[in-house]
Order: sequence, then C-alpha cells, then structure tokens
Amino acid sequence: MHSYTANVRNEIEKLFVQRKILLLLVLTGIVPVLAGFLLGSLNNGTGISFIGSGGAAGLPLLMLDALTVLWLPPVLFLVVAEMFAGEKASRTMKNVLTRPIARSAVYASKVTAVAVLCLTLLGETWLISLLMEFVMGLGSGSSALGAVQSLGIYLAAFVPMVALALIAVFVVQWFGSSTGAFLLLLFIYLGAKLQPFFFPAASTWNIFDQTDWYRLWLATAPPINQLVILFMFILAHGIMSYAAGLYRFEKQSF
Amino acid sequence: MEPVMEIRQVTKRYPGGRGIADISLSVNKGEVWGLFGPNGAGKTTLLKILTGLSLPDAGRVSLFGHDIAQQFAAAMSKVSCLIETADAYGYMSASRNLKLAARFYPALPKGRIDEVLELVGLAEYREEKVSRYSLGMKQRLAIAAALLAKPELIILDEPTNGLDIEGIVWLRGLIARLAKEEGTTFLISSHGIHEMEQVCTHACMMSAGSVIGQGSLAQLTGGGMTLEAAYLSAIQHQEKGASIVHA
Repeated sequence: MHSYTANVRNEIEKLFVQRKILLLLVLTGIVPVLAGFLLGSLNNGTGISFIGSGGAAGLPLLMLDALTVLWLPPVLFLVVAEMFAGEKASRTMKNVLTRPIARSAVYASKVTAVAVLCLTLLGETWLISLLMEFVMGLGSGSSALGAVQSLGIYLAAFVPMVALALIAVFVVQWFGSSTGAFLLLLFIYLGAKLQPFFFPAASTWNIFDQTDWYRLWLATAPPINQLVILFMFILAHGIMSYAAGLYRFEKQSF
Repeated sequence: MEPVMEIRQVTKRYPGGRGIADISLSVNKGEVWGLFGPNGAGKTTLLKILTGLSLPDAGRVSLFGHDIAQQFAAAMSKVSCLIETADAYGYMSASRNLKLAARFYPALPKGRIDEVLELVGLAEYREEKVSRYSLGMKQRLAIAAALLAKPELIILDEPTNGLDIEGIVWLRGLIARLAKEEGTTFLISSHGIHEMEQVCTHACMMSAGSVIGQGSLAQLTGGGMTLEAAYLSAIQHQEKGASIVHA
C-alpha cells in the first residue's frame, strides 16, 4: 500500500509540474469566465434571457455540457497517452518499474492520478462557473441550479469521464508513442460520437454516447431504474477496460 | 552462503531468434560480477529480466530469496539498477527526480538526496532541469538514483556510458569502496573487458545469448591470463560445444 500511495503522489506531482498541464488548467478556467461575461452581457444587452431565468439551466450545467463533450475527453486522452505510451517512448517508465512496487500498483497509481486530474478539472469548472454565475447575476433565475445540486451533477459527470479514461488506458497499451495513441483515441472518440447520427438504434450500446448520463439527475424525481442500468453499463465498461489494460501492461517489456 | 541473486535456466527469445537461452547464475553477497560480451550477446536482455522490465519465456529469478515473478516489490526492496540508458524526467530538476525515487523508501534518512548528489558531483546543479544536463551529468544522476536507497545489490548496465575518463576512474573507485566497506553486491554489464577487470571479483562471459564462462577472476584467468584472453579461450570452447563454469 505504501508503494501505491508513494507512486500516486509521484504521478500527481509529475502531472502538475508539466507546463502543458498547467496551461490546460488555465484554459479550463478561462472558458467559464469568458462564457459568463458573454452570456451576462447578452442577457443585459438584449433583454433576452440566454441563461438563468427562462434560459439554459445555469452556467455550471452549460459549461459541464461543453466540458464533457469537447474538452475533457481529449484532455484525458492526451494525459493517458503521455502517461503510458509517452513514458514508454521516453524510457522513463523504467524509473518506477524498477523500484519496489508491483506493476499492478504502478498501473493503479497512474489511473488514480488521471482520476485526480479529471476531478480537478471538473471541480475547477464547477467553482468558476458558479462564481461567474453569481458575479454576473445569472444565478437568480428559476432554472439555474443551486450550488449543491450542480456539485452533485458534476460528481455524476465524473463517473463516465473516468470510464472514458480507462478505455483510453486500455487502448494506449498497444502503442510505443504518445502521438499515435492520442490520434487513434481522438478518431475513436469522433467516430463514436458520430455513430448515433448514422445508426441511432445502436447508440444505447455506445459508451461514448452515454457520457451525459448526469442529465438524468436533473429531473425532479430521477428515474432510478434508468440511472442504475446506465451506471452499471458505465461501470462494466470501466472494469473491463481496467482489467484488460492491466493484463496488457503486466505482459509488456520496457 | 545465501546467494543474493539466483538465476535459474532463464530463456527469452525475440522474434527473429535473438535472445538468451538457459542462463543460470548465482551471486553471493559482496561479490562484484562483471557481465561481459559483445553487442547482441544478451547482456541487457538478461538485466531487464532480472529487474522485471521484461518477462522470461522460461526459468526463474530470485533476489534475496524472493521470486521476482511472485514477490516483485519484496525482491526489489534492496536492489537498485541502471538499465540501458540514463533517463530521468527532463522537465524536473535532479533533486526533484530523486525525491520521486525516495518516496519508495520510507526509512530513507533526511538529507540522503543531498548526500548522493554531492557524491556524484551534481550538488551544484541540483535545481537545474535535467533536460539541460549533458550526457555525462545524466549518467551521474542515474548513478545517484541507483545509490539513493543504499541498496545491497546494484545492477548497472554499461554504467560508464557518457562518462569521461575522470568519471570512469571515479566510478571504479566508488564500486570498489562500496563493495569493500559496505558489502554491496554488484552486477555490472560492459563490453569493455579491460575497464571492468580492474574492479570485478567475478565474471560471467556471454556470447550469442549463452553463458560461455563464469566464475571468479582467478578461476577464469588461471592466474596468468588476462580476462580478454580467457574470453577468447571461452569462445573457442563454445565453438566446440562446451562452456567454462567454475562453481
């Protein structure tokens, strides 16, 4: 257990000292600020309620929709590709593999670090969106979510995002360079996102199309059956991807 | 004497036929073993298997009585290594790189990072990013990382790569001192026979993926030959289908 926690700390430290990760954090924070100013001025300038009362259900939810579709998946793919295939290519993976730590613990600690980054980006967006909503006076509308409910929605969004990260972890095990791994992940994601337009009947089986399951929690009385089924579906994908990725990681030569 | 490292009939074949076959070796505490052989002899393949970076097709390896396939973390608790190339995280400083490594050893005394950086001559550049280091400095940092936890067994693959003459002499002195004063065991791979002959107490000679001779330097050289001559003699033996093994 000690070696696992030691490597979780190492992986998190490695992530957060990299300039590109700091830049991603800054960009993630800037978007809700800009969106808050833009929507606030549109609300005030035109008299039409784009957000808040009568408009979309608050800035945090609007930002979450954008985050989980456009921003977070590619960011997670990039980080996962760097963390596994990138470290294999730069031969720095052996720095940890030759320390007193089992490979399964190395794998688990890397996945944990990715989950921490995911949670950080979600938390950052939630907090800044909420502050912007308050500052710009967008949160007083009847449709705007309260702080507690929006936090719950963000935590619900964390579940499918981690499942996507685990699928990415599984895919990158076949790559010796982060660029190839990242590009393939982007293609898979793009294809999976476009799939419902061409084969709508199959979209219920498409994990990439279920990433907005947090929206089910928005209902006054959330549909429990549907929530449980979808949660198990996402969880199953996560578990299968984790196990398959671990198997491949343990068999690799570095 | 309890061996610190036991390799039993280890085989690893790569597509195309390269690899190692049926390697067995036993290393006791305080011995300094040189692993000699030309490029492609299988030295790095063997060292990667010993350190868990690669899995063997057959055979088993135990370090300090722990099978690396079953109890890897326990087996590596007293082992450090430098395999193939010195690759630290370039976007971090030397001290931060060592801090990451130090987290795996909770009993490590405070100040040990400064101590090893001083030892390898990098104390002055401790906060400089490793990406700005020269090849020799990176090699010294990798040696510092190997020494950090005061391991009882150190496995070094071509440790003099990138070091200047002064560095090579310093490393030889360091190995001899650690073996003598602290009883540290070494397994050092090199294709420079002369260089390692001065520091090793034992040698394992490899060619084309097989061990062609092993034992103490005195046994292998017969008291009169150089290690180079012993190696050439072992090659001739191998061509006749035999290997020189001194138990």
